[in-house]
Amino acid sequence: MGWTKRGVVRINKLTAKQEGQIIVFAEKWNRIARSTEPWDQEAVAAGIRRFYKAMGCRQLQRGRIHFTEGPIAAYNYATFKWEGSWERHPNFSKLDPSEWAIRCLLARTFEPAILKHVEDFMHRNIARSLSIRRVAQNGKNMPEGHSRGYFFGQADANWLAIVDYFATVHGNEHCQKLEGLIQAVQSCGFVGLMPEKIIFSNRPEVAKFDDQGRLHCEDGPAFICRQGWRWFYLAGVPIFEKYIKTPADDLKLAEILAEPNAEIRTAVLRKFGFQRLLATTHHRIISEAAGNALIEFKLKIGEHHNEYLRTLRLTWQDKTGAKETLLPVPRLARQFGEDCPENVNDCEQVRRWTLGWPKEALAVAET
Amino acid sequence: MNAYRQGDVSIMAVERVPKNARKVKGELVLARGEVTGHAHRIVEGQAFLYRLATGMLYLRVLSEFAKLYHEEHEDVILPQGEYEIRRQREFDPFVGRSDPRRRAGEGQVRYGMD
Repeated sequence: MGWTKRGVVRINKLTAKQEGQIIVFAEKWNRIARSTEPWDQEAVAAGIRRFYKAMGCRQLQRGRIHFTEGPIAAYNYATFKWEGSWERHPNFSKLDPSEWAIRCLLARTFEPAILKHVEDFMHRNIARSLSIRRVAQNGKNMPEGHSRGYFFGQADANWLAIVDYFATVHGNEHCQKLEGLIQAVQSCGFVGLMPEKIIFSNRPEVAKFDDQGRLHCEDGPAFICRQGWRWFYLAGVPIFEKYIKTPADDLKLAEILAEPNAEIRTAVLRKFGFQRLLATTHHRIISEAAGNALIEFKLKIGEHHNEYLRTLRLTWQDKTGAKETLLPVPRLARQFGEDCPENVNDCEQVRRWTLGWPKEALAVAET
Repeated sequence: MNAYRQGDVSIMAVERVPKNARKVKGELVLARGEVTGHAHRIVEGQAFLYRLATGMLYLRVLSEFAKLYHEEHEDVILPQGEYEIRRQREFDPFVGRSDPRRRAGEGQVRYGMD
């Protein structure tokens, strides 16, 4: 135990038994995140009833509880009229405990190092399933004056594992309030909570992950829900179907460079292989520094003939392993703008320009 | 001038946060990935985030150190001080292709999106 400035005692060390339980909970929630077994409707409904009771919300009758086979249908159905809802259900907002809010509550009892230790383990060892953010991109817009319910699902496994651990092993009262929600999430795909109704969706038919627990499939959809909706992922990055279906030899470098999202570009490059693209494209390396390179490509794009495009090839190492990407950069000094590097042919100077670092900036840490 | 980088987020020491920058309430998220939902966030230490009307972000670290966390990148330790936050920028060579007034290869600078 250690004393904080306010005189509050916080736990700063875990016992060997508590430490050993972290892996048990990580394994349990990893199974939940990857599960494609059909849901247990009774367990889900019972869990949500417990959760509503713990949060001081009025219980909903059986007729107000709905079950759907897939997340899209659940998402589209999960709207409610904003007007008057909060007056009739003053505690409704308590049903949205975010990971951050729980962290703040736990920080009253545990030192940050302990929280970080448990969080890191859970985040690294529990698979990440389809998030509601991704489902929302395929969902319908809300009617005017309506609001969307709170959603929880298999994608929340890594932070609910933290809650489950602190509730069960340490008996934390804030986490114990969420036990009903935990029970519901471990028995179905998604839970949508609204003031006047609750909606549940079934688990997916297919969910494929890579060895790091990220949604991933190189030759088909990584996630298929029971209604038939399909989502394509490479290393946890949602990508368009064309990148899965296009044979590797048919993919054009110009298509990759036109992709505005850097993470999608990185994932696609990883699938098709940078060296293969280099071999099929006229190019010259202008300069190299610290594993990075400034490369000029000669490409035919649309009606424009022999156009020159420059890219930085950046390589780095992160927690998931070695990575590389291509970053399109200007070719001419006027394209760089007012903070143009002194030498636009110098790889490192151009890289520093992408970061907005002036010449005198000293790079202390790069990860 | 000390500079730090975590993925596509650049953190550069500045003399002071501009006076007209407004404090950002809630979680200390410097940037969030659009497709993965991964975030560059402060998880340890006392710090405040400020935003200018232009959208420019600033960070003030009050404790001795603050820890910047991301799901994929290693942690970055930021000492006490004031910082300007930027996303990595790149060049879009394809913008305005359909506009006949634009020349081929003209393009436009765009800020990081992931």
